[in-house]
Amino acid sequence: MPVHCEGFKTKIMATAYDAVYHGILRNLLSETKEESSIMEDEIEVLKRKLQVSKTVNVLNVSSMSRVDEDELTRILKALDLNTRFLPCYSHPDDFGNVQDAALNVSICATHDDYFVEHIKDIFGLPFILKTIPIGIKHTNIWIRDIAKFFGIEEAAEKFIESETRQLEEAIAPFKKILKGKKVFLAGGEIRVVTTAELLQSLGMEVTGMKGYHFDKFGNELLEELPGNDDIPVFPIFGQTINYLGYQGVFEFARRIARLLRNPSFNENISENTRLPYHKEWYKDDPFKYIDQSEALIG
Amino acid sequence: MSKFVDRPRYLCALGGAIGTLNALPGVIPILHAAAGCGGNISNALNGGGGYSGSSYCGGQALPSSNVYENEIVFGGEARLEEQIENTLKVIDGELYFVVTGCMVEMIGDDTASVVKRFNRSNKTVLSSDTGGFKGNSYKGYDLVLETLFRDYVEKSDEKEPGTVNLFGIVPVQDVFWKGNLNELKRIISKLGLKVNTFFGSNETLDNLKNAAKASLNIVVSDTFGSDAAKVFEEVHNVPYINAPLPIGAKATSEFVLVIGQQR
Repeated sequence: MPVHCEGFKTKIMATAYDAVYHGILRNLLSETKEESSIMEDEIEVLKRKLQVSKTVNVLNVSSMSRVDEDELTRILKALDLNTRFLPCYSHPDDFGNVQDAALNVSICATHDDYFVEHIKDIFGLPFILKTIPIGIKHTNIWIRDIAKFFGIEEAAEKFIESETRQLEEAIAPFKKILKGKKVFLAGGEIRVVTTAELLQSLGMEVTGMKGYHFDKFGNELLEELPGNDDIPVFPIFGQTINYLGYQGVFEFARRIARLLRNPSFNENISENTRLPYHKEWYKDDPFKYIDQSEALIG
Repeated sequence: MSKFVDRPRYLCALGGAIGTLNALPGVIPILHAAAGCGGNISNALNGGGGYSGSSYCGGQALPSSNVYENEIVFGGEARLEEQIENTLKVIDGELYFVVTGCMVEMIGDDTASVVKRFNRSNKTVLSSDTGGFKGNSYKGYDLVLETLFRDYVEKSDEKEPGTVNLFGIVPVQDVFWKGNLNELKRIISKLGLKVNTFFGSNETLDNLKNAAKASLNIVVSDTFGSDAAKVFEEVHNVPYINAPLPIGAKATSEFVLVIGQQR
Protein backbone atom coordinates (compact mmCIF):
# COMPACT_ATOMS: atom_id res chain seq x y z
CA MET A 1 0.00 0.00 0.00
CA PRO A 2 1.70 3.24 -1.08
CA VAL A 3 1.53 6.19 1.28
CA HIS A 4 2.67 9.50 -0.11
CA CYS A 5 4.21 11.32 2.82
CA GLU A 6 7.41 13.13 1.79
CA GLY A 7 8.77 14.81 4.91
CA PHE A 8 9.26 18.21 3.34
CA LYS A 9 5.71 18.34 1.94
CA THR A 10 4.15 20.19 4.87
CA LYS A 11 4.83 21.56 8.32
CA ILE A 12 1.65 20.01 9.69
CA MET A 13 2.47 16.61 11.13
CA ALA A 14 -1.24 15.72 11.26
CA THR A 15 -1.32 15.64 7.45
CA ALA A 16 0.30 12.22 7.76
CA TYR A 17 -2.95 10.83 9.15
CA ASP A 18 -4.74 11.90 5.99
CA ALA A 19 -1.95 10.41 3.86
CA VAL A 20 -2.19 7.02 5.57
CA TYR A 21 -5.99 7.00 5.47
CA HIS A 22 -5.81 7.95 1.81
CA GLY A 23 -3.71 4.86 1.18
CA ILE A 24 -6.18 2.71 3.10
CA LEU A 25 -9.19 4.17 1.29
CA ARG A 26 -7.59 3.65 -2.12
CA ASN A 27 -6.30 0.15 -1.55
CA LEU A 28 -7.94 -1.77 1.25
CA LEU A 29 -11.66 -1.14 1.00
CA SER A 30 -13.98 -3.62 -0.62
CA GLU A 31 -16.67 -2.06 -2.81
CA THR A 32 -19.06 -4.99 -2.65
CA LYS A 33 -21.64 -4.12 -0.04
CA GLU A 34 -22.84 -7.57 0.90
CA GLU A 35 -22.12 -11.11 -0.17
CA SER A 36 -25.34 -12.65 -1.43
CA SER A 37 -25.38 -16.39 -1.63
CA ILE A 38 -28.40 -18.03 -3.19
CA MET A 39 -29.41 -20.22 -0.30
CA GLU A 40 -28.90 -18.17 2.83
CA ASP A 41 -30.26 -19.10 6.18
CA GLU A 42 -32.73 -16.34 7.08
CA ILE A 43 -31.95 -16.54 10.75
CA GLU A 44 -28.25 -16.23 10.05
CA VAL A 45 -28.93 -13.16 7.91
CA LEU A 46 -30.96 -11.56 10.67
CA LYS A 47 -28.37 -12.43 13.27
CA ARG A 48 -25.72 -10.83 11.16
CA LYS A 49 -27.81 -7.70 10.62
CA LEU A 50 -28.36 -7.45 14.35
CA GLN A 51 -24.67 -7.87 14.99
CA VAL A 52 -23.82 -5.12 12.46
CA SER A 53 -26.49 -2.81 13.88
CA LYS A 54 -24.80 -3.02 17.27
CA THR A 55 -21.22 -2.69 16.08
CA VAL A 56 -19.23 0.50 16.41
CA ASN A 57 -15.93 1.16 14.64
CA VAL A 58 -13.71 3.08 17.03
CA LEU A 59 -10.76 4.72 15.30
CA ASN A 60 -7.61 4.43 17.36
CA VAL A 61 -4.97 6.37 15.44
CA SER A 62 -1.83 6.68 17.58
CA SER A 63 -3.50 8.43 20.53
CA MET A 64 -4.79 5.35 22.27
CA SER A 65 -3.03 2.77 24.37
CA ARG A 66 -4.21 -0.83 24.62
CA VAL A 67 -5.50 -0.07 28.13
CA ASP A 68 -7.50 2.81 26.67
CA GLU A 69 -9.03 0.42 24.15
CA ASP A 70 -10.05 -1.86 27.00
CA GLU A 71 -11.72 1.04 28.79
CA LEU A 72 -13.68 2.16 25.71
CA THR A 73 -14.70 -1.46 25.06
CA ARG A 74 -15.92 -1.70 28.64
CA ILE A 75 -17.96 1.51 28.29
CA LEU A 76 -19.55 0.50 24.99
CA LYS A 77 -20.21 -3.01 26.22
CA ALA A 78 -22.16 -1.53 29.12
CA LEU A 79 -24.38 0.04 26.44
CA ASP A 80 -24.72 -3.36 24.75
CA LEU A 81 -22.54 -2.34 21.78
CA ASN A 82 -19.73 -4.28 20.11
CA THR A 83 -16.50 -2.45 19.50
CA ARG A 84 -14.11 -2.88 16.62
CA PHE A 85 -10.86 -0.94 16.60
CA LEU A 86 -9.38 0.40 13.38
CA PRO A 87 -6.90 1.14 11.85
CA CYS A 88 -3.95 0.56 14.20
CA TYR A 89 -2.96 -3.04 14.97
CA SER A 90 -5.69 -4.36 12.67
CA HIS A 91 -5.12 -6.67 9.71
CA PRO A 92 -5.30 -5.16 6.20
CA ASP A 93 -8.26 -7.49 5.51
CA ASP A 94 -10.21 -5.87 8.37
CA PHE A 95 -10.81 -2.84 6.17
CA GLY A 96 -12.61 -5.02 3.61
CA ASN A 97 -15.73 -5.00 5.77
CA VAL A 98 -15.36 -1.63 7.43
CA GLN A 99 -18.98 -0.93 6.34
CA ASP A 100 -20.32 -3.78 8.49
CA ALA A 101 -20.98 -1.46 11.40
CA ALA A 102 -23.68 0.97 12.42
CA LEU A 103 -21.39 3.86 13.22
CA ASN A 104 -17.85 5.19 12.96
CA VAL A 105 -16.68 6.85 16.15
CA SER A 106 -13.60 9.00 16.23
CA ILE A 107 -11.74 10.03 19.34
CA CYS A 108 -9.93 12.82 17.55
CA ALA A 109 -10.98 14.93 14.58
CA THR A 110 -7.33 15.74 13.86
CA HIS A 111 -6.87 12.10 12.91
CA ASP A 112 -10.06 10.90 11.42
CA ASP A 113 -12.12 13.56 9.62
CA TYR A 114 -10.80 12.59 6.18
CA PHE A 115 -11.50 8.89 6.69
CA VAL A 116 -14.97 9.05 8.26
CA GLU A 117 -16.27 11.51 5.69
CA HIS A 118 -15.11 9.32 2.84
CA ILE A 119 -16.61 6.20 4.38
CA LYS A 120 -19.87 8.11 4.71
CA ASP A 121 -19.70 9.10 1.05
CA ILE A 122 -18.97 5.58 -0.13
CA PHE A 123 -21.10 3.43 2.17
CA GLY A 124 -23.46 5.91 3.83
CA LEU A 125 -22.03 4.94 7.20
CA PRO A 126 -22.63 7.79 9.66
CA PHE A 127 -19.97 9.04 12.05
CA ILE A 128 -19.42 10.92 15.29
CA LEU A 129 -16.46 13.23 15.28
CA LYS A 130 -16.69 15.60 18.17
CA THR A 131 -14.48 15.03 21.13
CA ILE A 132 -12.01 12.70 22.78
CA PRO A 133 -13.23 10.87 25.92
CA ILE A 134 -10.70 12.52 28.24
CA GLY A 135 -12.04 13.71 31.59
CA ILE A 136 -15.51 13.15 32.98
CA LYS A 137 -17.18 15.89 31.01
CA HIS A 138 -15.87 14.84 27.61
CA THR A 139 -16.30 11.14 28.30
CA ASN A 140 -19.94 11.88 29.09
CA ILE A 141 -20.34 13.90 25.89
CA TRP A 142 -18.73 11.08 23.91
CA ILE A 143 -21.07 8.47 25.41
CA ARG A 144 -24.20 10.63 25.06
CA ASP A 145 -23.52 11.25 21.36
CA ILE A 146 -23.24 7.54 20.72
CA ALA A 147 -26.28 6.75 22.88
CA LYS A 148 -28.35 9.34 21.03
CA PHE A 149 -27.51 7.72 17.71
CA PHE A 150 -28.70 4.33 18.95
CA GLY A 151 -31.66 5.74 20.88
CA ILE A 152 -30.44 4.33 24.18
CA GLU A 153 -30.13 7.60 26.10
CA GLU A 154 -31.83 6.28 29.19
CA ALA A 155 -29.44 3.36 29.64
CA ALA A 156 -26.54 5.71 28.97
CA GLU A 157 -27.63 8.19 31.63
CA LYS A 158 -27.90 5.40 34.18
CA PHE A 159 -24.42 4.19 33.30
CA ILE A 160 -22.97 7.71 33.37
CA GLU A 161 -24.54 8.40 36.74
CA SER A 162 -23.18 5.21 38.29
CA GLU A 163 -19.68 5.60 36.80
CA THR A 164 -19.40 9.26 37.74
CA ARG A 165 -20.48 8.59 41.32
CA GLN A 166 -17.90 5.85 41.81
CA LEU A 167 -15.21 7.88 40.12
CA GLU A 168 -15.80 11.05 42.16
CA GLU A 169 -15.48 8.98 45.31
CA ALA A 170 -12.25 7.38 44.09
CA ILE A 171 -10.52 10.61 43.07
CA ALA A 172 -11.57 12.65 46.11
CA PRO A 173 -8.25 12.01 47.95
CA PHE A 174 -6.24 13.09 44.90
CA LYS A 175 -8.24 16.28 44.50
CA LYS A 176 -6.99 17.43 47.91
CA ILE A 177 -3.38 17.12 46.72
CA LEU A 178 -4.00 18.67 43.32
CA LYS A 179 -6.18 21.61 44.36
CA GLY A 180 -4.84 25.00 43.23
CA LYS A 181 -1.69 23.59 41.57
CA LYS A 182 -0.74 25.31 38.32
CA VAL A 183 -0.31 23.44 35.05
CA PHE A 184 1.06 24.13 31.58
CA LEU A 185 0.13 21.78 28.73
CA ALA A 186 1.74 20.84 25.42
CA GLY A 187 0.57 18.24 22.93
CA GLY A 188 -1.88 17.54 20.16
CA GLU A 189 -4.66 20.06 19.73
CA ILE A 190 -7.68 18.03 20.84
CA ARG A 191 -5.76 16.30 23.62
CA VAL A 192 -4.42 19.43 25.32
CA VAL A 193 -7.77 21.18 25.30
CA THR A 194 -9.69 18.25 26.79
CA THR A 195 -6.87 17.52 29.24
CA ALA A 196 -7.10 21.15 30.35
CA GLU A 197 -10.76 20.59 31.13
CA LEU A 198 -9.86 17.43 33.08
CA LEU A 199 -7.22 19.29 35.09
CA GLN A 200 -9.64 22.09 35.90
CA SER A 201 -12.22 19.55 37.04
CA LEU A 202 -9.57 18.19 39.44
CA GLY A 203 -9.28 21.69 40.91
CA MET A 204 -6.03 22.63 39.17
CA GLU A 205 -5.25 25.89 37.45
CA VAL A 206 -4.31 25.67 33.76
CA THR A 207 -1.92 28.54 33.08
CA GLY A 208 -1.19 27.86 29.43
CA MET A 209 -1.32 25.45 26.51
CA LYS A 210 0.80 24.74 23.46
CA GLY A 211 -0.72 22.69 20.64
CA TYR A 212 1.16 21.18 17.72
CA HIS A 213 -1.29 22.95 15.47
CA PHE A 214 -4.76 24.46 15.64
CA ASP A 215 -7.74 24.15 13.34
CA LYS A 216 -11.52 24.54 13.42
CA PHE A 217 -12.01 21.42 15.56
CA GLY A 218 -9.83 22.84 18.34
CA ASN A 219 -11.50 26.22 18.26
CA GLU A 220 -14.86 24.83 19.28
CA LEU A 221 -13.35 23.23 22.39
CA LEU A 222 -11.08 26.17 23.11
CA GLU A 223 -13.90 28.65 23.44
CA GLU A 224 -15.03 26.88 26.59
CA LEU A 225 -11.75 27.53 28.42
CA PRO A 226 -10.12 30.53 30.09
CA GLY A 227 -6.47 31.24 29.20
CA ASN A 228 -3.13 32.39 30.86
CA ASP A 229 0.76 31.49 30.74
CA ASP A 230 3.68 29.25 32.53
CA ILE A 231 5.48 25.69 33.90
CA PRO A 232 5.59 21.50 35.19
CA VAL A 233 5.89 17.73 33.67
CA PHE A 234 3.80 14.63 33.07
CA PRO A 235 3.70 12.85 29.69
CA ILE A 236 0.12 13.18 28.50
CA PHE A 237 0.31 10.18 26.24
CA GLY A 238 2.08 6.88 26.83
CA GLN A 239 1.52 3.44 25.34
CA THR A 240 1.25 1.93 28.80
CA ILE A 241 -0.95 4.53 30.42
CA ASN A 242 -4.75 4.52 30.60
CA TYR A 243 -5.96 8.02 29.86
CA LEU A 244 -9.38 7.72 28.20
CA GLY A 245 -12.74 7.16 29.81
CA TYR A 246 -13.59 7.05 33.52
CA GLN A 247 -10.75 4.75 34.51
CA GLY A 248 -8.45 7.06 32.57
CA VAL A 249 -9.48 9.97 34.80
CA PHE A 250 -8.62 7.95 37.90
CA GLU A 251 -5.29 6.77 36.48
CA PHE A 252 -4.33 10.28 35.42
CA ALA A 253 -5.28 11.84 38.76
CA ARG A 254 -3.44 9.09 40.65
CA ARG A 255 -0.26 9.56 38.62
CA ILE A 256 -0.06 13.35 38.81
CA ALA A 257 -0.89 13.29 42.52
CA ARG A 258 2.02 10.89 43.05
CA LEU A 259 4.28 13.12 40.97
CA LEU A 260 3.36 16.15 43.07
CA ARG A 261 3.75 14.34 46.39
CA ASN A 262 7.36 13.58 45.55
CA PRO A 263 8.90 15.71 42.82
CA SER A 264 12.49 14.96 43.90
CA PHE A 265 13.30 13.11 40.67
CA ASN A 266 12.53 16.23 38.63
CA GLU A 267 14.31 18.46 41.15
CA ASN A 268 17.47 16.32 41.12
CA ILE A 269 17.48 16.15 37.35
CA SER A 270 17.20 19.91 37.00
CA GLU A 271 19.91 20.51 39.62
CA ASN A 272 22.36 18.12 37.97
CA THR A 273 21.75 18.78 34.30
CA ARG A 274 23.32 21.52 32.27
CA LEU A 275 20.91 22.60 29.57
CA PRO A 276 22.40 23.81 26.28
CA TYR A 277 20.55 27.14 26.10
CA HIS A 278 22.30 30.48 26.67
CA LYS A 279 21.15 32.26 29.83
CA GLU A 280 20.10 35.32 27.82
CA TRP A 281 17.77 33.21 25.72
CA TYR A 282 15.47 32.54 28.65
CA LYS A 283 14.91 36.28 29.03
CA ASP A 284 14.11 36.84 25.35
CA ASP A 285 10.66 37.33 23.89
CA PRO A 286 9.40 33.78 23.23
CA PHE A 287 8.22 34.77 19.74
CA LYS A 288 11.54 36.37 18.75
CA TYR A 289 12.66 33.61 16.38
CA ILE A 290 9.27 32.91 14.86
CA ASP A 291 9.18 34.37 11.38
CA GLN A 292 5.52 35.34 11.03
CA SER A 293 5.81 35.93 7.29
CA GLU A 294 6.62 32.26 6.78
CA ALA A 295 4.22 30.97 9.40
CA LEU A 296 1.35 30.37 7.05
CA ILE A 297 3.28 28.90 4.12
CA GLY A 298 3.58 25.19 3.74
CA MET B 1 10.51 -14.66 12.56
CA SER B 2 9.08 -11.32 13.43
CA LYS B 3 7.35 -9.65 10.51
CA PHE B 4 8.58 -6.17 11.26
CA VAL B 5 11.61 -4.36 12.62
CA ASP B 6 10.76 -2.94 16.01
CA ARG B 7 14.24 -1.73 16.90
CA PRO B 8 16.54 -0.88 14.01
CA ARG B 9 20.01 -2.43 14.13
CA TYR B 10 21.60 0.61 12.64
CA LEU B 11 20.59 3.92 11.18
CA CYS B 12 21.53 5.80 8.03
CA ALA B 13 24.80 7.72 7.75
CA LEU B 14 23.07 10.81 9.21
CA GLY B 15 21.91 8.78 12.21
CA GLY B 16 25.41 7.46 12.85
CA ALA B 17 26.80 10.97 12.52
CA ILE B 18 24.36 12.37 15.07
CA GLY B 19 25.00 9.49 17.48
CA THR B 20 28.73 10.15 17.19
CA LEU B 21 28.41 13.90 17.72
CA ASN B 22 26.05 13.43 20.68
CA ALA B 23 28.70 11.26 22.34
CA LEU B 24 31.29 14.05 22.15
CA PRO B 25 31.21 16.47 25.10
CA GLY B 26 29.82 19.96 24.41
CA VAL B 27 29.21 19.48 20.70
CA ILE B 28 26.08 20.94 19.09
CA PRO B 29 24.98 19.06 15.97
CA ILE B 30 22.96 21.17 13.50
CA LEU B 31 20.84 19.20 11.07
CA HIS B 32 20.35 20.38 7.54
CA ALA B 33 17.43 18.15 6.64
CA ALA B 34 13.64 17.83 6.60
CA ALA B 35 11.84 17.96 9.93
CA GLY B 36 11.25 14.20 10.16
CA CYS B 37 14.95 13.26 10.10
CA GLY B 38 15.76 14.68 13.53
CA GLY B 39 12.68 13.28 15.25
CA ASN B 40 12.90 9.82 13.71
CA ILE B 41 16.64 9.54 14.28
CA SER B 42 16.27 10.60 17.89
CA ASN B 43 13.72 7.83 18.47
CA ALA B 44 15.73 5.24 16.58
CA LEU B 45 18.99 6.12 18.34
CA ASN B 46 17.30 5.80 21.69
CA GLY B 47 15.32 2.67 20.94
CA GLY B 48 18.09 0.95 19.03
CA GLY B 49 20.95 2.18 21.19
CA GLY B 50 19.95 0.87 24.60
CA TYR B 51 18.16 4.10 25.61
CA SER B 52 21.37 6.04 25.40
CA GLY B 53 19.65 9.29 26.30
CA SER B 54 19.73 12.50 24.35
CA SER B 55 23.08 13.89 25.60
CA TYR B 56 23.91 17.57 26.09
CA CYS B 57 22.14 18.84 22.99
CA GLY B 58 20.34 16.09 21.13
CA GLY B 59 17.14 14.11 21.04
CA GLN B 60 14.16 16.27 20.29
CA ALA B 61 16.16 19.43 21.10
CA LEU B 62 18.46 19.06 18.10
CA PRO B 63 18.73 22.26 16.04
CA SER B 64 17.49 21.54 12.50
CA SER B 65 16.91 23.62 9.37
CA ASN B 66 13.63 21.68 8.82
CA VAL B 67 13.56 22.24 5.07
CA TYR B 68 10.17 22.11 3.37
CA GLU B 69 8.90 22.18 -0.22
CA ASN B 70 9.99 25.78 -0.70
CA GLU B 71 13.63 24.95 0.10
CA ILE B 72 13.55 21.71 -1.88
CA VAL B 73 12.47 23.65 -4.97
CA PHE B 74 14.48 26.85 -4.53
CA GLY B 75 17.44 25.61 -2.48
CA GLY B 76 17.97 25.43 1.26
CA GLU B 77 21.25 27.30 1.77
CA ALA B 78 19.62 30.52 3.01
CA ARG B 79 17.54 28.52 5.51
CA LEU B 80 20.69 26.75 6.73
CA GLU B 81 22.55 30.02 7.18
CA GLU B 82 19.66 31.42 9.20
CA GLN B 83 19.55 28.22 11.28
CA ILE B 84 23.27 28.36 12.07
CA GLU B 85 23.03 32.05 13.01
CA ASN B 86 20.10 31.43 15.35
CA THR B 87 21.66 28.31 16.85
CA LEU B 88 24.81 30.28 17.73
CA LYS B 89 22.61 32.84 19.47
CA VAL B 90 20.44 30.37 21.38
CA ILE B 91 22.58 27.29 22.07
CA ASP B 92 25.75 27.38 24.10
CA GLY B 93 28.33 24.91 22.80
CA GLU B 94 32.05 24.45 22.32
CA LEU B 95 31.80 23.15 18.78
CA TYR B 96 28.97 23.36 16.21
CA PHE B 97 28.78 20.69 13.54
CA VAL B 98 26.42 20.72 10.54
CA VAL B 99 25.30 17.33 9.24
CA THR B 100 23.13 16.84 6.17
CA GLY B 101 20.19 14.64 5.20
CA CYS B 102 19.50 12.96 1.84
CA MET B 103 17.15 15.59 0.42
CA VAL B 104 19.50 18.57 0.68
CA GLU B 105 22.27 16.60 -1.00
CA MET B 106 19.94 15.53 -3.79
CA ILE B 107 19.11 19.16 -4.53
CA GLY B 108 22.81 20.06 -4.39
CA ASP B 109 22.98 22.46 -1.42
CA ASP B 110 26.59 23.49 -0.85
CA THR B 111 26.72 23.06 2.91
CA ALA B 112 30.49 23.53 3.19
CA SER B 113 30.34 26.99 1.59
CA VAL B 114 27.54 28.10 3.92
CA VAL B 115 29.55 26.93 6.92
CA LYS B 116 32.63 28.79 5.66
CA ARG B 117 30.71 32.06 6.08
CA PHE B 118 30.98 31.47 9.84
CA ASN B 119 34.77 31.19 9.75
CA ARG B 120 35.20 34.61 11.26
CA SER B 121 32.73 34.17 14.10
CA ASN B 122 34.32 33.33 17.44
CA LYS B 123 32.62 29.92 17.38
CA THR B 124 33.92 26.89 15.51
CA VAL B 125 31.43 25.61 12.94
CA LEU B 126 32.29 22.50 10.93
CA SER B 127 30.32 20.36 8.51
CA SER B 128 30.19 17.00 6.85
CA ASP B 129 28.06 15.68 4.01
CA THR B 130 26.38 12.80 5.78
CA GLY B 131 23.38 12.24 3.44
CA GLY B 132 21.61 9.19 4.79
CA PHE B 133 21.97 7.22 1.58
CA LYS B 134 25.77 7.29 1.84
CA GLY B 135 25.71 4.30 4.13
CA ASN B 136 24.70 3.18 7.58
CA SER B 137 25.63 4.34 11.10
CA TYR B 138 29.23 3.16 10.70
CA LYS B 139 29.69 5.35 7.63
CA GLY B 140 28.29 8.34 9.51
CA TYR B 141 30.84 7.74 12.28
CA ASP B 142 33.72 7.69 9.79
CA LEU B 143 32.48 10.79 7.95
CA VAL B 144 32.24 12.81 11.17
CA LEU B 145 35.66 11.66 12.39
CA GLU B 146 37.21 12.53 9.02
CA THR B 147 35.99 16.11 9.31
CA LEU B 148 37.03 16.39 12.95
CA PHE B 149 40.51 15.03 12.21
CA ARG B 150 40.95 17.24 9.17
CA ASP B 151 39.45 20.50 10.46
CA TYR B 152 39.35 20.39 14.26
CA VAL B 153 42.49 18.56 15.37
CA GLU B 154 45.27 21.15 15.57
CA LYS B 155 48.42 20.56 13.56
CA SER B 156 51.45 19.57 15.61
CA ASP B 157 54.96 18.76 14.41
CA GLU B 158 56.01 17.64 17.83
CA LYS B 159 54.92 14.05 18.63
CA GLU B 160 54.80 12.54 22.10
CA PRO B 161 56.17 9.00 21.90
CA GLY B 162 54.02 7.75 24.79
CA THR B 163 50.69 9.09 23.51
CA VAL B 164 48.20 7.18 21.36
CA ASN B 165 44.66 7.75 20.08
CA LEU B 166 42.20 4.90 20.20
CA PHE B 167 39.00 4.73 18.16
CA GLY B 168 36.94 2.42 15.92
CA ILE B 169 34.32 1.67 18.56
CA VAL B 170 31.21 3.43 17.29
CA PRO B 171 29.30 5.33 19.99
CA VAL B 172 25.63 4.42 20.46
CA GLN B 173 25.95 1.78 17.72
CA ASP B 174 28.01 -0.15 20.25
CA VAL B 175 25.69 0.46 23.20
CA PHE B 176 28.55 -0.24 25.63
CA TRP B 177 30.93 2.11 23.88
CA LYS B 178 31.79 4.15 26.93
CA GLY B 179 32.61 1.20 29.14
CA ASN B 180 34.54 -0.49 26.34
CA LEU B 181 36.62 2.61 25.66
CA ASN B 182 37.26 3.16 29.37
CA GLU B 183 38.43 -0.42 29.82
CA LEU B 184 40.73 -0.39 26.79
CA LYS B 185 42.13 2.90 28.02
CA ARG B 186 42.78 1.33 31.43
CA ILE B 187 44.56 -1.65 29.91
CA ILE B 188 46.74 0.36 27.54
CA SER B 189 47.60 2.85 30.27
CA LYS B 190 49.22 -0.07 32.13
CA LEU B 191 51.73 -0.27 29.27
CA GLY B 192 52.74 3.25 30.24
CA LEU B 193 50.88 4.93 27.39
CA LYS B 194 48.74 8.05 27.49
CA VAL B 195 45.48 7.38 25.64
CA ASN B 196 42.91 9.65 23.98
CA THR B 197 39.59 7.98 23.11
CA PHE B 198 37.60 11.25 22.56
CA PHE B 199 34.34 9.56 23.61
CA GLY B 200 35.37 7.99 26.93
CA SER B 201 34.61 9.21 30.46
CA ASN B 202 36.28 12.36 31.74
CA GLU B 203 37.56 13.40 28.34
CA THR B 204 37.01 16.84 26.86
CA LEU B 205 37.26 18.29 23.39
CA ASP B 206 40.88 19.15 24.22
CA ASN B 207 41.74 15.45 23.97
CA LEU B 208 40.56 15.66 20.38
CA LYS B 209 42.06 19.07 19.64
CA ASN B 210 45.52 17.95 20.75
CA ALA B 211 45.30 14.49 19.22
CA ALA B 212 47.91 15.25 16.54
CA LYS B 213 50.59 15.04 19.23
CA ALA B 214 50.04 11.30 19.42
CA SER B 215 52.53 9.00 17.78
CA LEU B 216 50.08 6.24 16.87
CA ASN B 217 46.40 5.73 16.11
CA ILE B 218 44.93 2.43 17.28
CA VAL B 219 41.78 1.47 15.37
CA VAL B 220 39.96 -1.23 17.33
CA SER B 221 38.31 -2.61 14.21
CA ASP B 222 39.25 -3.93 10.80
CA THR B 223 36.93 -1.49 9.08
CA PHE B 224 35.19 1.13 11.19
CA GLY B 225 37.40 4.15 11.73
CA SER B 226 39.97 3.09 9.13
CA ASP B 227 38.95 5.76 6.60
CA ALA B 228 39.19 8.37 9.32
CA ALA B 229 42.60 6.99 10.38
CA LYS B 230 43.82 7.37 6.80
CA VAL B 231 42.76 11.03 6.82
CA PHE B 232 44.57 11.46 10.16
CA GLU B 233 47.74 9.99 8.68
CA GLU B 234 47.52 12.16 5.58
CA VAL B 235 46.86 15.43 7.44
CA HIS B 236 48.81 14.94 10.67
CA ASN B 237 51.38 12.34 9.73
CA VAL B 238 50.38 9.89 12.45
CA PRO B 239 50.40 6.22 11.39
CA TYR B 240 47.67 3.77 12.42
CA ILE B 241 47.21 0.08 13.10
CA ASN B 242 44.07 -2.04 13.04
CA ALA B 243 44.15 -3.87 16.35
CA PRO B 244 42.22 -7.11 16.89
CA LEU B 245 38.87 -6.81 18.66
CA PRO B 246 39.63 -7.50 22.33
CA ILE B 247 36.70 -9.67 23.36
CA GLY B 248 37.56 -12.41 25.86
CA ALA B 249 40.84 -13.01 27.69
CA LYS B 250 42.65 -14.59 24.73
CA ALA B 251 41.80 -11.89 22.20
CA THR B 252 42.51 -9.21 24.78
CA SER B 253 46.01 -10.69 25.37
CA GLU B 254 46.61 -10.58 21.61
CA PHE B 255 45.39 -6.99 21.58
CA VAL B 256 47.83 -6.04 24.35
CA LEU B 257 50.70 -7.83 22.59
CA VAL B 258 49.97 -6.08 19.28
CA ILE B 259 49.96 -2.70 21.03
CA GLY B 260 53.13 -3.65 22.95
CA GLN B 261 54.98 -4.46 19.74
CA GLN B 262 54.44 -0.91 18.52
CA ARG B 263 56.55 0.60 21.26
